[in-house]
Amino acid sequence: MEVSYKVRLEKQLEAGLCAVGRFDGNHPAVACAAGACGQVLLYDPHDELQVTTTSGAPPLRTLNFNKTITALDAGPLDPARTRAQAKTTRGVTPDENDDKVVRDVLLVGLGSALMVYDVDLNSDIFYRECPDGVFSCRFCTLQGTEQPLAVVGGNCSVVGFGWQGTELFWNVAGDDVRCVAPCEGDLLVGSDDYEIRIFRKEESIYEISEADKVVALCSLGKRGRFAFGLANGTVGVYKNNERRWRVKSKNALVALLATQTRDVAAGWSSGAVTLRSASNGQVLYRDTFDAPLCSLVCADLKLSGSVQLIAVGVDGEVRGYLPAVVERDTSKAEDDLRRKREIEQLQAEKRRLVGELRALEDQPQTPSDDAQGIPGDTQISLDVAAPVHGGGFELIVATSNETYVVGAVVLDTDGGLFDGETLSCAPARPTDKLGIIVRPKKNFPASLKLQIHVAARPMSTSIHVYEVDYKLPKFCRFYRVAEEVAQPSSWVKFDVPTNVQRVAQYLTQAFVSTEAVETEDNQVKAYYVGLDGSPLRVEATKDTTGTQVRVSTNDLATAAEVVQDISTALDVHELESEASFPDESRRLKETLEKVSTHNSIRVRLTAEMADGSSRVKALVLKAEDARLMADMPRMMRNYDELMRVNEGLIAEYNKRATNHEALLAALKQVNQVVQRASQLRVGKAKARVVADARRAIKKGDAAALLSLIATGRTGG
Amino acid sequence: MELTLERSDLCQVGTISHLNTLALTEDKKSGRLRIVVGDDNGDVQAFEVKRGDAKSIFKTSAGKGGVQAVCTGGGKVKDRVFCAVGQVVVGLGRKGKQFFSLQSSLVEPIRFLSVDEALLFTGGEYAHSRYRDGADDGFYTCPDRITAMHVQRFADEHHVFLGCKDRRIRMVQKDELIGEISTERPASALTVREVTSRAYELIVGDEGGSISCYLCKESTLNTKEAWSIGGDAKVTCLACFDLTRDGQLDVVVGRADGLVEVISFGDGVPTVAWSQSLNEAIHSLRCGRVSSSSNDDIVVCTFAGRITSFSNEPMKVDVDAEASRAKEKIELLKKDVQELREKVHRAREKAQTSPSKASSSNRGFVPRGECSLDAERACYQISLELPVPIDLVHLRSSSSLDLLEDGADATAVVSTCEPDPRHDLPGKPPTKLLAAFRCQDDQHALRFCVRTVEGEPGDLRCVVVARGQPKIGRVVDFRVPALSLHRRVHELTADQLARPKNILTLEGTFTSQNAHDWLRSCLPECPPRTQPRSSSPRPTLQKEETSAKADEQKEDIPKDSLRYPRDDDDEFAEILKEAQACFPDAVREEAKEPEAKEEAPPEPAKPPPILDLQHRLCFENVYTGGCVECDYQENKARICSDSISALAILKEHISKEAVRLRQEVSDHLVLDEQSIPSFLRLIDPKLKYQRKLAERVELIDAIHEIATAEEDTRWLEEEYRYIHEHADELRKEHAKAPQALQYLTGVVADFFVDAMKARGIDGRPQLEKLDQLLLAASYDLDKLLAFFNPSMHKVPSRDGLNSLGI
Repeated sequence: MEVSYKVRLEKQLEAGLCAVGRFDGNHPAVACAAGACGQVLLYDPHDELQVTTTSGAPPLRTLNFNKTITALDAGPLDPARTRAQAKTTRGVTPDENDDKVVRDVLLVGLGSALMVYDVDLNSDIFYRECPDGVFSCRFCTLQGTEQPLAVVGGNCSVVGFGWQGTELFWNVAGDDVRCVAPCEGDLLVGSDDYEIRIFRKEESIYEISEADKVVALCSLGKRGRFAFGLANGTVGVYKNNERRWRVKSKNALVALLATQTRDVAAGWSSGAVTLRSASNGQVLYRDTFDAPLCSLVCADLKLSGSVQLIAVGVDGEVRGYLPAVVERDTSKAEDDLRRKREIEQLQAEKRRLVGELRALEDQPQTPSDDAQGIPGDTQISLDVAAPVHGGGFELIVATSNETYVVGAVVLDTDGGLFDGETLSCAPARPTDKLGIIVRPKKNFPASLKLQIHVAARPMSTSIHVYEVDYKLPKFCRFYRVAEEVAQPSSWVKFDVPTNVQRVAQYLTQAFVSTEAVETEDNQVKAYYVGLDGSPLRVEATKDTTGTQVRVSTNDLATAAEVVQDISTALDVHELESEASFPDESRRLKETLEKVSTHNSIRVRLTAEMADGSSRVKALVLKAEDARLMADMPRMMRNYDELMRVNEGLIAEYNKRATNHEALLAALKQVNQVVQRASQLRVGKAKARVVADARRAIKKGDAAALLSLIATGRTGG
Repeated sequence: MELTLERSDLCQVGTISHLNTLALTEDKKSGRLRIVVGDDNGDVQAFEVKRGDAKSIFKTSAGKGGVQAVCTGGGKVKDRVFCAVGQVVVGLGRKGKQFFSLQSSLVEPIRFLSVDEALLFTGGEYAHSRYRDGADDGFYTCPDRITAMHVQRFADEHHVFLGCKDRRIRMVQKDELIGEISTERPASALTVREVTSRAYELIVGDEGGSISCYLCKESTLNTKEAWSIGGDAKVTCLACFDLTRDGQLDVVVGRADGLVEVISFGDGVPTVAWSQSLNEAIHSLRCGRVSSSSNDDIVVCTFAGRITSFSNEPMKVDVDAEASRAKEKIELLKKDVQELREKVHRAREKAQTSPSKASSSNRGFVPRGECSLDAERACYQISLELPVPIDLVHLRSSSSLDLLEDGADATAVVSTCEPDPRHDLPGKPPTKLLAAFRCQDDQHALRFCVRTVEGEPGDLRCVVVARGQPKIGRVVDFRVPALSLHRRVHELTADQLARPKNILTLEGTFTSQNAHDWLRSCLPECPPRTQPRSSSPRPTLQKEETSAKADEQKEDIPKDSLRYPRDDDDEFAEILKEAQACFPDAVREEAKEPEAKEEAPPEPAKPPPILDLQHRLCFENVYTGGCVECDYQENKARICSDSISALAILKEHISKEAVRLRQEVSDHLVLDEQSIPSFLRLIDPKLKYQRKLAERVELIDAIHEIATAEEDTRWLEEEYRYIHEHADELRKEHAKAPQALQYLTGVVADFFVDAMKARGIDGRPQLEKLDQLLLAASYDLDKLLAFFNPSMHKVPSRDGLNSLGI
């Protein structure tokens, strides 16, 4: 890769908000959001109508949306808006092929509304309120819907709008949706609960847990093959729903893009741009901007015939990259450099080997060394111990002989389980045993790496390091207790077509327990306590078709998680269930009531605001009139009045803002309940719950929603 | 002047933890210099460089233990080397044959070595010896550790320069000290740049990274520096050589962070003409014609044992030949690596099958750990380096430390975690900080910064785990003293002397070494033994007057200092009685004097009385600018400071230590009311600056917003325009010290509590108010001063005074 051109727009841009589109159907233009008051700057290098500014910076068109922009994309959403249509509207005779070229339109997310705008004809196509918020917006063509969609990710929900502004797709996610991306007809959805979901038609076909909030996703041109970016600076690639590689950086990821050659380009807050090979993550190219990066796009901005990677910095710098010409006949200097690097690498390797050899050969040389060394047959054992005071469980490492464990470091390379990436401890008085308390922040079957520091004497300066891997069970926030726990008021009940022993086996490996779960008379009873002290009971009994499992917990989310995990582990693809969550249902009812009150308040407040703003206009006019007529006292009076009205408006606005926030929170809760209720089921039932719930919410039918949680069906 | 130097990696030897273990010897036949290097295994190897390849000439063992110093010697042709191993100096001939051996009579290992014909100079921990033909010919002991040595022949004499830890460079001839220079920081490297036959320049590189120059004429040393250049990392090596070929000697610098620099004097002004980093600490550096008889080279050797040369004339052989040579080298290396791999494999198998008792992993490597106070940022910079890539560094501290973000290497992933109270020992300070640095790539060194809190001493234990199999770790310990942010100064400035100070008097039965040890345990940079009082005059105009007064004022403690304004007379009489019981001589009935003082406030504050006590140490706080002076001798010590916090900490630690040693010590603290506003005035500008910075940073976004909306921003207020234009700098500055404001308010809060405690008031309940005052928009110094007025707070109780020990 090499930089083929650089343009300075000399404007401060908003990170992450940038799109490229052929708004006139001919050449691509870059649209970037700037400032908090909703400006979109359009950089169109081929617009001959615009004149260059005096400073030499390229001309920009400014579009004002007057609201904070939260998402930006472009695409040929409306098939009727062709080049021919634009020309006819302008009174120009269209060319032959013009009716086949659909122009791109701009999709603008404005906090809680989606605006679709025709740049070329300067007209709005539609404006849709999205009460769930617009955190992300992408133009997608999905399998199962005939027309292209503007897919909006919001509070726990994903909505797809057709060109008329009609809702054609709806689904739920576990938390705020930060990114959506089309992937060959599937839809990738990344949310704040660390999950990447893949939807095919209405059904979520895969759910992948990652280590942090998912902030970026992009397709790599095949089903199940995509790149992802996380809030902690990780970038990686999935292929066939298995992770191929990932790398972590200290900086925040702002942009992720697949290039024409299916390489993964990432833009960082440090201003760095890295291009990595999709297959193994090797760095192919690096470049650095002075300012943090704003976005990465792919387009043929210079009309050179091939699509370039374009990087945009927040300071308005635009760089276009072209793939470098095939390197073979490179200059001698470069060859030299390469050789030098190779020599350096080899020397480093040699140094390492010499060091290792010396370490191996030098073993029992001097007596002082002997005292520091530990017996060669030292073994390390790793045990899980009963829960400790304050929740969590304990990993106990011990040595087999008279040596001391001076410290231990638990590395969680996936991240997200602990506050940092590691847990560590180093006792003031080491013994041959060391307990490390583990309190995972989420249920995730992470593989932990333990580094155990062993020394011959407690204060020895020479330390032998043992490495042990430990695989956390899926439900690492729950540990098994022997005595019966209090019966939670809520439960979910379902049938699995296997025997009780299989369920017992599953329970043993999925929860933190010191001994295996036993079956008695074809019955299993297991009691668990969560990190927060909440009880969980899993009971399984044999029935006619297989095993009936009953999970009792007060937390709907936990129940959903258990159902999903059991069904994956036992290879169940379709599962209906019966549930009773009285507390959760009551809360849901309250939330629904809240939603309707907030909604009515909103309508009222909007009307009042319109009133106030018309008064403002009148007062400004009056005051200005008075000024022109040199009637100072009247002018003062009017401005006084204006100030009061303005204050009133601000107060109203604050009320509206609080109301809006409360409404958002309530809606998020509803969406979350729907998501969890659907996860009490597997397969078709799961998709059905989502679809039915959407209908019920639209109708405001609380009873139907409750019955969906309980039985998975509306009514009955 | 532009200088281009071609780098080539010559060869690899074992790790080298000592400085200056590489020498260049002459070879008559080839006209080139040979490289002789000693490593930590005690091996001395000689190489000859032919067409960029290092060919081994000999490899011999100089003794057991690491080679600590190597230098050239011999008659007309300097073709021999002398090596120091432990307490022994060994001479090796051209072929590596031992022709000389000298056992030092001292127990100290020899760390510095220089030979000139029949004369041999050594430097150990504290002692410098001179030998003529192997017989003792001179001896000098330094009061503090020797950190650098250089020997210069001047006319017929030899001047030995010894850089010492106490920030002095001593010029010694035989047994005599003939000159002394005080420097800002301890010297870590010395060399001499000859100017004329009668004068020369002494070039000093110090621990803080600066290089300064002192002129020496007619064997008298000018104590004022001629010029100085700053730098980041500690200077480890210095050499003088004309690389630029402009007829003037250049100064070549090697640093602990791997940087090699050439300072040239193009127009008589020292400028850095060239620099390159090796990313490994430079431990030896010499210059000479090594690779060919016409080109000059800088030969450096790193901690990890890598020997690299920088040649001032790129090899102008035709490029193809060069390429093929490089290819050959690659092939050779590949073969080497392959062979080594097999060897390692075999050795590993052997180690696994043989049931030897000791496990492998023992020698391996020695870590290089350094911890230094960064005066500018008031934090400790810790650097750890291994000869092999680092896997992980685990840190445990029993002192509450702040890990500063920006100081850490960009590639290492840092995470801290909550310490488990079960792992603490009762009676020992609990663990306050646990952190792990996971290093990525091939990282050999890790650098990070920690900020300490004064008054919280503790140990810092770093476990450095190396990559590779088997995995080995090494422990590096650092100690954080109680007054960790203080640094030693030779003498206080006149301004510092004139400040009003609080006085802590200690009396009892103890030796001066005892007193010295107490100070040593609380303050950094103290030499292990007591030091005589410096004879240099103190920087004050009132010197004579005060010293005349010294005797009469010596023991005076103004009576009213014990009195609290609201005490009623009875109570005061009682306090006085108690106080007099403790210090019969100290508290005299001299009620009038303090009153007179009050009446005449414009009179400049008197410097505290000089005591003719035998020993004196002075310190200043690098963050607040407060100072501490300690004068002590047998059975008596007096510590003065304008910061009541520093005194409170010292008092606490000294009494603890005295109790531990069952020594009878009574301490007495006298508060000078004037010291409080004086100290607050020191902090005030810093506080204001940080507040302003925080305010400005907060405004950046809003101003940017306006600037993007408006075409023309000239109408903005100047302050706002400044913020707009300097946004990046402000952000950087703020990011550098995000908790600076918090830290400063913490310092003030501690100061408040200590100041109130000294008056018998428990100030802790008032802290919230103080915090509000400090962070409020309306903050100003007068309000703060008013807050420190004790009458604002509650009446002292007897308990408060008791807690003071009065």
